[in-house]
Amino acid sequence: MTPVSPHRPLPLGELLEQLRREGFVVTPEVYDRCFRIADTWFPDGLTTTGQLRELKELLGPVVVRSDIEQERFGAIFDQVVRFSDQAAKQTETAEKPADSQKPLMPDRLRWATLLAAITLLLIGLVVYYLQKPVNPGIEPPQTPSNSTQSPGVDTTKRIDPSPVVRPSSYPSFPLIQANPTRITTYTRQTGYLLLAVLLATVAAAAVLFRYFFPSRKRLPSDGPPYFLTFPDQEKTIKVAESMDVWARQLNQRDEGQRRMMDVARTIRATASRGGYPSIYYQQIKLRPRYLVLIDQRSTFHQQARLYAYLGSVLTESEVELETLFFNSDPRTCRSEKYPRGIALSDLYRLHRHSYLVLITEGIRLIDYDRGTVAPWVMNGFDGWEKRAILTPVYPENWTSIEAILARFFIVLPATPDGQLLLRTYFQAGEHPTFQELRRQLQVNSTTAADRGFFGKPASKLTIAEIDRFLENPFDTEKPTEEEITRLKQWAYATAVYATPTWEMTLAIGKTIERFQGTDAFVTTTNLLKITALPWLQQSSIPEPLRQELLARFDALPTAMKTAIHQDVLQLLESVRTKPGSLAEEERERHTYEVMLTDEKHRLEALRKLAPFQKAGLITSPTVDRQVGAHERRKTVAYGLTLAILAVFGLVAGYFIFPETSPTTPAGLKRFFYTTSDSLRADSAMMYNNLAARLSFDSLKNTDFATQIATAVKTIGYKPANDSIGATYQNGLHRITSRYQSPTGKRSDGFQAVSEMTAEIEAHQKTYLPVLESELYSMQIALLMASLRQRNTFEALYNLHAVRFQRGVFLDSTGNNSSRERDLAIRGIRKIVAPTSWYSAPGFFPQDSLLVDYLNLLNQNLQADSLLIRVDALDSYGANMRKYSNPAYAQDRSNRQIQEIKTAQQAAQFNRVNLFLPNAPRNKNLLVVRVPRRTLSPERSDSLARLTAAWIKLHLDKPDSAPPTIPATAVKTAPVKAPSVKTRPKTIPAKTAPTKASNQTPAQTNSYPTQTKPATDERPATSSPDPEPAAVSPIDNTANADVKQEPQPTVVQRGIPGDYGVLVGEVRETRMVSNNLFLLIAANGDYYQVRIGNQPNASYGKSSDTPILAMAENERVRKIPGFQRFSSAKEGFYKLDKTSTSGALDYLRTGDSYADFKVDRKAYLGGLVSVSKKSPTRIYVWGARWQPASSTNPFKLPNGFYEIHYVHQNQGFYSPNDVLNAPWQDGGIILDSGSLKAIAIRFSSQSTTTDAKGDPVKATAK
Amino acid sequence: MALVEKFEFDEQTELNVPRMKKNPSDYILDSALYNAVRVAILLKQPLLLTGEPGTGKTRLAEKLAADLHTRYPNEYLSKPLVFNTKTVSTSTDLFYLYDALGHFHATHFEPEKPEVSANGAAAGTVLSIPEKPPVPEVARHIRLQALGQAIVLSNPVMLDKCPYLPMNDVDASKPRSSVVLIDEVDKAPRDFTNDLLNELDRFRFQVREDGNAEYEIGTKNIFVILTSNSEKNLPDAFLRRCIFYHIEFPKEDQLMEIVLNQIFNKELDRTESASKRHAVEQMIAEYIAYFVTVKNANLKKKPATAELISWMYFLRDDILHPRPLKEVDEPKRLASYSILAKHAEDFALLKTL
Repeated sequence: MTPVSPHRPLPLGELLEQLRREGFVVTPEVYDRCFRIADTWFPDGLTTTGQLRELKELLGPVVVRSDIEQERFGAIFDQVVRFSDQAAKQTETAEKPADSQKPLMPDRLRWATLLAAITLLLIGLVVYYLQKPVNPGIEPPQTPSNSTQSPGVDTTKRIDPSPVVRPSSYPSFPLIQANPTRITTYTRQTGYLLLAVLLATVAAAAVLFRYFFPSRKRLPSDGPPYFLTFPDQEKTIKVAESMDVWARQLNQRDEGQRRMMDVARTIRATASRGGYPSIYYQQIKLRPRYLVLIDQRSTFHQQARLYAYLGSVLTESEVELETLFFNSDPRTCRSEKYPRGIALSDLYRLHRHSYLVLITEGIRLIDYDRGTVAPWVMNGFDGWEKRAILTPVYPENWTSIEAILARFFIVLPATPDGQLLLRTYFQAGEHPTFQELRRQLQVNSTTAADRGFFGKPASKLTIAEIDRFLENPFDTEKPTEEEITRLKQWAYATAVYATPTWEMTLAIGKTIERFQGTDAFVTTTNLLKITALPWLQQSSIPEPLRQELLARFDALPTAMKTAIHQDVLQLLESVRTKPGSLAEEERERHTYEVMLTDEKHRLEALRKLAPFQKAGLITSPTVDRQVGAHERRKTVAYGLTLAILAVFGLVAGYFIFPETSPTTPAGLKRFFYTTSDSLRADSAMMYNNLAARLSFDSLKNTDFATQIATAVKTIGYKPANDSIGATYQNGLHRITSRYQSPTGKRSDGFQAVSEMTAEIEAHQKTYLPVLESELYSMQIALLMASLRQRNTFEALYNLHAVRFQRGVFLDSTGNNSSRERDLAIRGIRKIVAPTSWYSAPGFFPQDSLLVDYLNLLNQNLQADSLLIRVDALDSYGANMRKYSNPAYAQDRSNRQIQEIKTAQQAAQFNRVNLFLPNAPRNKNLLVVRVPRRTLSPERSDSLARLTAAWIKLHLDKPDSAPPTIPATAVKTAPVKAPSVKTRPKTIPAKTAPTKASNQTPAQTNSYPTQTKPATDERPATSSPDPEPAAVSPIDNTANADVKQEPQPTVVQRGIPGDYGVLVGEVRETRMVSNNLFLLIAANGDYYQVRIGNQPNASYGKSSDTPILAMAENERVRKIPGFQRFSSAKEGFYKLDKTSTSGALDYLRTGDSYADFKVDRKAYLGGLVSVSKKSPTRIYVWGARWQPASSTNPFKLPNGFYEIHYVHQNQGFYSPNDVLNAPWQDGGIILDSGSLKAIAIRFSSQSTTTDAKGDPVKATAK
Repeated sequence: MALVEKFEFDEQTELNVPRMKKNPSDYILDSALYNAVRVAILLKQPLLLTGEPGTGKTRLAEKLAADLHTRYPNEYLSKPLVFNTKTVSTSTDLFYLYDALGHFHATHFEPEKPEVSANGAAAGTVLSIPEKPPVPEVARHIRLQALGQAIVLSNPVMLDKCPYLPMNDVDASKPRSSVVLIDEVDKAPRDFTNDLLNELDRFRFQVREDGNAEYEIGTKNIFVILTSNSEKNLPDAFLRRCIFYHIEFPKEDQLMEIVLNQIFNKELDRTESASKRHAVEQMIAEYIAYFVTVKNANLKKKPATAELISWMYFLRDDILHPRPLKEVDEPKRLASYSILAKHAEDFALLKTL
């Protein structure tokens, strides 16, 4: 049909279809015409844009029937054409609506994301700040709490273990003190937990809030269209038969005003009168016209709609009818044709010859003051000869109103029977009186009744009245009980839709009709009754009445209710609205309000109505209340949910995070625990530490001695020679108290001290061997006690360390046999072995092997191959299997596999069956929970240390290569600078001097050379200079003892120690092993100055002889160093090694040294004489040491200084040339009335040096 | 108010002013209407025009006839055949009128009828049915109306036979196509339009008084144009058979064009000065604006285009010497209002505008 076009086909089909949908009359004829037009003018389709307009203009006249239609046609045409354009081009406009709806979801998502992000950020922030206060807690407080300490153990001083340092020349196993155990407790921070729970609750609240209270506040829409235009439902109305009758009646022709001659009759009459013309006319009969004015108080007035419908029915039945509407006052009427209204006078002009029918209650037509029809009614309607009023009020309820109206109009009820009387009265010449009418309508009561049902507004109606009204049939019908019930159901069901509309009423009626299986329910007759219900004449049902009606409605069969709801919603759904329009808003609101009356959809409706309520768009107070109540319930539920959530969270928190956590809380848990460290020392530790500190020296401390005594008593140790210990102690005490008592205090403190020391030494010598063994067994006892308390690393280590030393000690005493040594070694093994395998109350196997073992078990290997590997593992000493099981050996294969399987199974649960070799038979299998493979650092460290110690002790030959201090042990028990209290043990030094030679490798090379020069007067030339050899040990001690001293290196040349000048008084001199020792007091400090050779090398052995040179008085005064310090106070002055600082340099001081006279015969011991009456002031240049020396000839208490290098310090030959430097020579100046300067150099030293202090000739002279 | 003794007119400017001519060529035809006419012609269906009074419904027929005649002088009549509907019109009135009384009178009181016989004989001879006795007298009392004329004119056979010719103002010498205008069709009773349906479909009628003589459309075209003031609703069945076009009330610019075309064309042409011409046009626009205001005011009877033209024509001197409405002589202005207002109240309202 549509011409195929190369350009563009005409959108004729769509257009006509659309027009038909829009209510145009599109008959096949119209189709035909349109296509004829298209064929004629557009055989090729549309080729130019101008043609579109032409097409529109051509098609319009064919389709349209009125000016209104013409306008609409234009719009529809444009729309269709545009649409087809777009469809053809597939433009995006069709997708736009979809687009506009899509953003909803991403929008919500975006919100959720944002919310989540904020929550995360908040949590992050809180966590960040939470951590901060925790941080300081991680740093453990260094002071342990006193409560955890054993009484009497001063643990504060023992946080760092202070080992008992043995002489460096001995292989030593310094006993270590146990660190107080750091116990980290993790206490749950209830506050943080609460905070977290609250935070989580708040987050949940925010999330739930979105869910519970979506912020979809309904914005009031204001766009057009403003009204819901329901699809036409009128075609479902079944027209009652009475309407046909009425239509026929109304169509009965009237005699017209125009007459025409009745030719036949005229001729007949003329003929009969003998040719006398007698003319007869006949009136042309015309169909009557009716002008119907319907009182329509609102657009929702359903009765008016019904009458309009009846009017259209009549029009269809060819009754010539013009229907107009008025609003109470008929002076202005409206219709589609006169949207702005038409005046009554104009109506009269147009419809003067029509019959006038007003459909109204007529209340406004009356002048109540005068009791007549209002004057304007008289004037306005007078023109029409025939005028009638159809009133919806039943004749029984007619009152004076109708009586008054009856004087001017023919008043009839708008009921089927009343309608049928209309034509009769119109045709009757006379105007019926009120009485006649009443008689005609068979109203018998004499008095005018009240208006009854019709007089009451909807708000005052009761259900009973409604029922009664509906039960009252029209005269012409005889309704069955069932029909009346249906009618009532209809009436009740109208309440489902809160704003009654004509279409809705019809739809509901239709549903009931379908449900009841009849075909004559929505009839004009029934509608006359239903539309008389007052609430259907306005746009709303009074709320109380609606509730009552709904209550009745609820009593209806459920299926019917469902059907009604469904149909009502469907009708609402079918309304075409534009999003954002007022109508759309109305439609949604009504849909939800209808759903509200349906139990099944009630909740959904309440939820969906919430946005409306928020926007205040709900008009019905009941609905508003319901929605409000629902919102409140929701709020309460929301609050409760949150509260429950919070409580649950808290309870869960309490469960998940116990009050204290034994393990380090990981992950999230970290945030809820505060870490507090406490150091704990138990008795095991105490005993261990006591054992570690136990030494002769420490016993001098009376406090400690008492402590030891108490401890020893507590552990039930009985000293073998109690008296000896006591005697020793008493002896010591006696000596010290004697010297320290005020009576015994002597004026010469120094002398006293040395005397006391000497006495103590003597005392010690007497008791030493006994004490030694006593000390040993006491240490062992203490350590065993410690181990009995707790199997600790330290105690075990100390135990074997003590025993080992004992063994070596025994060996070194000389009476050791190989058997004894083996025994000692075995003993060590016995001690050490368990420490490497087991520890703690239960024994734990060595972890590395255990890990391997577990790995093996979990490797899913065949039992056989696994067995081989485990055997291999055991061969390293893993001891994982039961060796002692007798069945093991007999039924090896079965048993093993069985065992392995058990082990495998056990391994999965991190349990291992351990065989304890030394335990009784029935207890030797221990089920051990395997520590997770992540071992604590302390544990793995101790294991490592143990292993190191074990390897050193056990695998190395103890005699061939005496072990040094295990590196690991040193690491944990660093050698501290000797304190005042701890003095180097002298006992080993005395007992094992020979061993020392090969234990000090640094000196080994130099000693053989020392033997050669012996007491050679001449400076040694061919042999290495003995003096450096003498220096080296000093160096060595310096290295060992003076940590702060810079080490002499090739780069940093010169003597060690602080070079400077000591100004003081000579107190004492002493010659020890060819060395002159001076005791010099300077400002209260004692200095021990040594002049001469190396302390432990005999003077005679040395190839070097000190060469003394002296100067006196005036020559001394020339020495710049003297000039500088001659008036200085006593004390030691550090000097820079420069020419200006006051430092000495024999070779660079110019003539000052040249004046010195070398005195080869001078005796070192006779250099300085001590006069008690006039103390000699002395200036000593040399290097100062921190107080540490093995030689202490003056028995000075700790705290003195030593001065070394009081001689020329340049001109040394290799290897001692590192000491060479200018401006660092030592020397002495004595001032005892007369001045005397003594310069010392060794014969091996060169007297000519270069700028560095090195000899000019590379080799010795 | 001064009293005037007697009527006096100025002969040139008042009394003998030429009647305002309505020239079909002045008619402004918009394309929609043009296309509607095309459709109607194509489909050979009557064109129903509605619209407010004065929007040129009637004049369209004249225009159409004139244009067709200009194009095909031998084929079309230069003027439309017009039928003015009355409230008492019946469908037969469209075709012919029968003067029954005259016929009666003639048969009884005019014995001598030489001319009639001649006429009648002539008429008798053309009757197609020789055996049927001719009723020559009847033909004298039957007068063809617009549609009847058109039908007869369209058919060469009928044209020869028809006894009711000659017609007034119509050259019946040869068959012609014609435009028939049935004006204000809604004025008639409903029966009229209902009856019209068949007649318009078939273009055939019987003369009952003349022995049911039948006349039928011939080879020529008949274009029927119906107009309606939409005062009453027309039956659907009737509308279905028509091509419908509603003429909107012209917009201001269209009014301007109409006014210029119908009243001022010649005058404006004569004034050479372009500026003057512009000023006049400005003035016309101003007057039209006033007219639109009046029209939109809540008048009882709204003025139509015809009133506008009359009014402008009345005031054309003032417009030509550009003088705003307010400056027009008071009496003349008020007099002009009586063209626009048809009611006393409307007139009072206009004075306040």
